[in-house]
Amino acid sequence: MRRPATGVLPWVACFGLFGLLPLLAALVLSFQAYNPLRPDLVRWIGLENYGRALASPSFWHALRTTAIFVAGTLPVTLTLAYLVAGLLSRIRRAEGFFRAAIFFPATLSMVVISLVFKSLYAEEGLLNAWLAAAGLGRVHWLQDPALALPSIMLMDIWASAGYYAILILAGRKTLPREQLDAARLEGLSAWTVERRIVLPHLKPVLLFVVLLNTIRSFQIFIEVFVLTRGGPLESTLTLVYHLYERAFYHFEMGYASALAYLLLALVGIVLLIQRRLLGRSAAGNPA
Amino acid sequence: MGATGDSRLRRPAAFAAFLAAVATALLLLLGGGCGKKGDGRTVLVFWQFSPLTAIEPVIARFESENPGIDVRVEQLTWQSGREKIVAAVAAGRPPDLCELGSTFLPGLVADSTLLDLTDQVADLWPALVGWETAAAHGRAYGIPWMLGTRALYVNLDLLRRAGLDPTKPPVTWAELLAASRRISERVPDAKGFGMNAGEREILFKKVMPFAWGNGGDILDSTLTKSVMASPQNLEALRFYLSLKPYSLLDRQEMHDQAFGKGRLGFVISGPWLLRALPKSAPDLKFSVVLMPRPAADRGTHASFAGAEVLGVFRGAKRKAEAIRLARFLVRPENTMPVFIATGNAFPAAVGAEADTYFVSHPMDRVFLTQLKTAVAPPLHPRWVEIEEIVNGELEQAIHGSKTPEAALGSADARIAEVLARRP
Amino acid sequence: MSRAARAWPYAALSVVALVSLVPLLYMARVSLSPGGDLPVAPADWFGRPFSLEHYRDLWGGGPMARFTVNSLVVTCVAVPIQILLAAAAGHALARSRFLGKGLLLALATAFLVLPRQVTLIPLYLLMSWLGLLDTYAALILPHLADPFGVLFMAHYYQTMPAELEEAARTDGLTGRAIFWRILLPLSGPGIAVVGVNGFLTTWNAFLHPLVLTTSESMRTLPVGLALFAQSEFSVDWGALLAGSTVATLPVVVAFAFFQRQIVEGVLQGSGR
Repeated sequence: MRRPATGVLPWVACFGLFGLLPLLAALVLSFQAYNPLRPDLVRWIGLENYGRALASPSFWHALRTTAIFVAGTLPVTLTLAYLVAGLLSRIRRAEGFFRAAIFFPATLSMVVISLVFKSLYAEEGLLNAWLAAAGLGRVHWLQDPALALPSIMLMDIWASAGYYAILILAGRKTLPREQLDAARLEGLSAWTVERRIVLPHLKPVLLFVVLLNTIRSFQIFIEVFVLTRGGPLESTLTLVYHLYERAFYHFEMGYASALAYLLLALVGIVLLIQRRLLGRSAAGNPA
Repeated sequence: MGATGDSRLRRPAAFAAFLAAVATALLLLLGGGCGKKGDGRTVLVFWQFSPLTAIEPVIARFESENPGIDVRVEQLTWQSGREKIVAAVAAGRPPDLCELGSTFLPGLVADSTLLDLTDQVADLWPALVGWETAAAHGRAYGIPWMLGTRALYVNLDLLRRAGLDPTKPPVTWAELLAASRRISERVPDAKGFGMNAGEREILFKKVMPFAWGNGGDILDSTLTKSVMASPQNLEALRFYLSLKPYSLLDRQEMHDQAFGKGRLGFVISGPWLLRALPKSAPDLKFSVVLMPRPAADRGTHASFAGAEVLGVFRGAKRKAEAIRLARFLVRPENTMPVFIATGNAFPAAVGAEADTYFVSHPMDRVFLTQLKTAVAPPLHPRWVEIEEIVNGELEQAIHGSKTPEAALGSADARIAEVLARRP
Repeated sequence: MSRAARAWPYAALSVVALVSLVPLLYMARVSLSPGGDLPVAPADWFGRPFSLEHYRDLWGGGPMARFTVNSLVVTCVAVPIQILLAAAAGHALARSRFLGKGLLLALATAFLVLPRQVTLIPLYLLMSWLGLLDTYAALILPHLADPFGVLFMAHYYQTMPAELEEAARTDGLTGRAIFWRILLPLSGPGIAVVGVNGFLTTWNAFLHPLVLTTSESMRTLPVGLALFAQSEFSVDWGALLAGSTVATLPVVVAFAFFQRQIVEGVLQGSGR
């Protein structure tokens, strides 16, 4: 069915100018040795940045750290979000209050959340104070190299699960009531209804949530910047943080751009795999 | 009640109002921002880190002394000032005069982004302290404006409770170790020393002072060889690590807080804590002393020296006026108000300690005295990498995953490698 | 359904709500305490005096009002435009087939993935070249490029059956009329999501507004707050959290507003 798609044009114009142009500029930079302080000395070096990255132990370390982060947060966030959305759809009263409470973490900027958790996670901070009051020992949330990354993961799950829950809830609300009522009349159990009617209906939204969460998890930066600066012992050195250090501390903007594009390629592969495993996402289907 | 959502968009009047709003917005876009057109006067752009309320009176005085110059001051954030400066330089629109931290300088100097000011400010050499933070190979790439250092804060109350004499705070390493130990062992809920952890990027500022006080260093005097694996460094690092069992391992601000709460005996901190403590812990009995020296008969009370430097970028449009403003700013009478307002770094002017402020603020005087034996990292072109190596190895030694010998040896080898690389 | 069966979702949600809110309550409590450090012990929460000093300091300084106005202007202009762009483009992506659709989707996703640190300097150069540095345009335009809304609305319209639009088409309505009169009203929940996300992203944006503006009169709230509450070595927690609370309030209001839209949109949809 062919219909004129003129509706897409206004956005494409904005995106083209303020999205694509910088995107392409960054791509060009990735093939150059570019020191932003000396733009006059920029020179073309082809694939040298990419080669250097692939041979760099720091790059692979950052990649591994990021992969652990994504693999650890994605399933948990998604499951929590789904469960909470399910709960929210089952209640009648005070829905507005619960929705607001659950959504609240998402209204804060990541900088603020990181700062608050910085104090919660401190050696003499709130969490350790509670543990001490309960007679348990202190946890070195951010000082122990084995615990720092999980602590950040926990914070991230706290910060984002509510947001995704609301997204999923929005999707659930578009399910026509008649279908649910009909299923109930047929005597189907709640679990069957969930599996056979709700899940398929929610598939596009869920895939979108997975897409979004994957992308955002690969990109985490502020959390690391505020809480640990990549430490202790580089246990929280994520790819974007590594890239940032290269760009603004070593002034290697070309190399940083190459790192960014390698990240892009990686995420692209992950998203393609997700698509294959979880079924095609809605926007891929022709009408 | 109908669906207010869609009926709003349906009614043409409301829709027209919406369009009008968008149109106004577009007009705002085109004419937005406050366009300060220079009315024949020179506009000088100055970027710095202090709050505007602190710097504006000083700027006003400059403008009245220089009626043809209009200064546009802007405050940068510590968090992201770096990105802003880099973006501006990259686009060819740097500020005319910029305040730069001494840790930011090495990269800028290495890439020849800053003007060589040596000839224009030759007369200032004897008038200011701290040129080593802004000069490389005898050429000045900035003018030292304010200097900062760290000293040892002592909780006198905890000393007393541990059975020590509060009028005799530790002066040597051995005394510091003994006092930290007693406080940790005798006073419940308190620890002796604040040891930085989780903040790799400042470790060298905390550990190297002990090495410097012992005669050790990172690079030799010619800045071409690494001397990280020296016996003096090893002794210093071993001493530092011996404090660990009696220490609170956390970030600096947590140390400052714990100290304020009376739970930490000693903390190496800067002048900012002097401003914070009267407010957060008015009853705290504490004092500030020089960093301890290795022994009563050898070594120095060395500490870390950082600086706020005024630099002029190559691409600056108003170089001469920028230097004029810099000269004005470094005069002690102009730096003191900024120092008093922010409380972080002291004027770099020679003789600043004669100011009456320091008579009524004796603990600030301790910092000034400390500055005399403070060491600043060298302005080496590869300094950023060297610092990273030192921080990384020190972190591993503190964490215990490497012995001090292994950490220093590894640092030595890696730094040698960095130095050997051809530019 | 038995009482217990009806109650358990409430109980579970209460736990979830508590976990969500505790750090925020902590934040509010610190912002209402005097001094700059953090109350830690449970006794501190109630034992400490309450004080409005941070809030007073916030408004005492003149610029905060200007920062808030700037943030409001940017957000209130950018978000409605974002919604319209997203709905139009998302619909086209969901319903039509056109040349380059796959490529466009890939590029949109790529833009979401690419870290902003590397597009920062090219964007700065672009704004500088256009002469838009330090204007509202520089603050608003980058948000309009945000592909999130478009991608979400595309997914959203996929879940919406096309029969209503088909019926309207056979009734002779033009594309534009269908968009404004039929589609948008039914897009309540989707628009609410895009609106809220747009509001949040625009309101909390820090790095780009920081770099793309220079004069104090053009600052937005997050940037202004960062300057207000922090010095090089210490964070004034009370001031920072008070500022953050103030910065969060409009978001809460916006969310409450959009919440109504969700409800009304649903009522509208179910009334079919």
